[in-house]
Amino acid sequence: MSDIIRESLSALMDGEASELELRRILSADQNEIRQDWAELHRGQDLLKGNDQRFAGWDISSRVMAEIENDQYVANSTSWKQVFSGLAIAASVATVVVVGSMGSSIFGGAAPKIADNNGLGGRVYPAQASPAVGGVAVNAQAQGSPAGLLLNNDAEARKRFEAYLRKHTDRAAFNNGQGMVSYARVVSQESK
Amino acid sequence: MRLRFAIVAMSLMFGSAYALSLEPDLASIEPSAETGSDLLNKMTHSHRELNYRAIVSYQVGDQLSSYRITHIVRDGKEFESLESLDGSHQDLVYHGHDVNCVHPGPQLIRLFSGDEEQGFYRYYDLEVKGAARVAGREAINLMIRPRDVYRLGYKLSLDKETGLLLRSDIVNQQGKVLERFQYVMLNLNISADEPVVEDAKEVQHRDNKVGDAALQVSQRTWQPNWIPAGFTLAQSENNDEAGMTYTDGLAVMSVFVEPLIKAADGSPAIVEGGMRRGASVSYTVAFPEQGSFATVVGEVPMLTAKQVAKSLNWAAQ
Repeated sequence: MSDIIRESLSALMDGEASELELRRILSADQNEIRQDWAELHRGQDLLKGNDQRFAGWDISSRVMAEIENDQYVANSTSWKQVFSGLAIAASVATVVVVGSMGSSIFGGAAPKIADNNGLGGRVYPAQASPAVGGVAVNAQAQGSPAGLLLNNDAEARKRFEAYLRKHTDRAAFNNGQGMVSYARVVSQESK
Repeated sequence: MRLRFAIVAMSLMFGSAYALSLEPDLASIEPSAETGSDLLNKMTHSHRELNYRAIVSYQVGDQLSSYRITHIVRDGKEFESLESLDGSHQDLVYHGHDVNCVHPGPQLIRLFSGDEEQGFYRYYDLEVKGAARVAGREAINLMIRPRDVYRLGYKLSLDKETGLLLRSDIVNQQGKVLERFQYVMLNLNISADEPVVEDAKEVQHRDNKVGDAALQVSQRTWQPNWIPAGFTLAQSENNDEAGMTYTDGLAVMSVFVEPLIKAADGSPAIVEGGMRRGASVSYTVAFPEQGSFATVVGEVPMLTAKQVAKSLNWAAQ
């Protein structure tokens, strides 16, 4: 990798990359970029005395594969809630820059969702989020990207307890824990 | 989506996520020569084959509850009870489970070893992680990390002598402990004549083996179009409790379908969403065109429950 690209990468990590530098990185060799990116972060973590235990992990291909399989999240309206929630959190410019290059830097094609929604990988600032499909962003949706939590709904909680007991009848013999599994049910009903 | 991907990938890559806390080794306890899969295998046998009485604590968040477990094997049959020791009195018992009856979950663990990278071992990384002391017993720590985002992680302490599961922390993808079971006292010297608790509620036992459930002639018109790789159908019923249960050897999830509940104005009274307590989650989705709603319950990430629930598909009538 050329020193120019390495410098651009370093600038990106510091949040100081220009558009030209960004284009340079995006057109460079993906594997080399990935290694260098990881090395730069390892160096920075070492300097800051941060945890190094997971520094050697490169799970990008695995994450990529999971996202490829992520069809049910991708084709429902809920991704818009996720996206809107993240858009708010992502008002910092550096995050926007990293976000826009994310799928390229770790290799592979952009996830399908980017093609379907017409956003073309652009990340809109927080104030634009209501325009993203017109989905209202509420605190619950932001707090739980996997879906709305109904913990405060008494009827839903009653159903949950009943289902949990039926599920535990089936789980206790399959999860290696046996009768102890029923503590999940009993502790809940005792509340 | 790109942004979401970048954040997920980078947070995992640079180590802020999945930091399972490790305890220091106890120098006085010799490490085990057994592999992770040996230990897991032993665990699936021991809790069913030994006679023991134990006090177990169960912790979720800041709530702690305790139970007395009694397990005996008499004439090849298991008798086990669970008595709650605090809160309202609730006792559960089951009788007469054949000790040789093997369920799909343990079968998945026993079928292969960690070296073969098959079955269960394709979806989790196992690591024997030093020694511990739990309930006054020497124990071996076993870390089980999921290889994908559809399962939870486990930090287990297994009794060195017997393989009994003495402590279990179930951790999410971010390394947060969701719930903890821990034995605080274990007595392995009880006789098989020891009485199990009286007047307790009998727990149902259903004994399907791997594959049996799938072979049953089904009246069910629905099924999930997607379940995470590695999950096997462990059980299915066609009665009023219409449900299907899947396991990967440790994680178990059940899918239940019921007629849609309607509000006074005829609109569906079921709101799509999830519930969570400890390691257990549920996700409910209404299918108004089918007049049904589906709930997935299990010790899996919410993402898994949601995707399975949303994937439900009805056969054309």
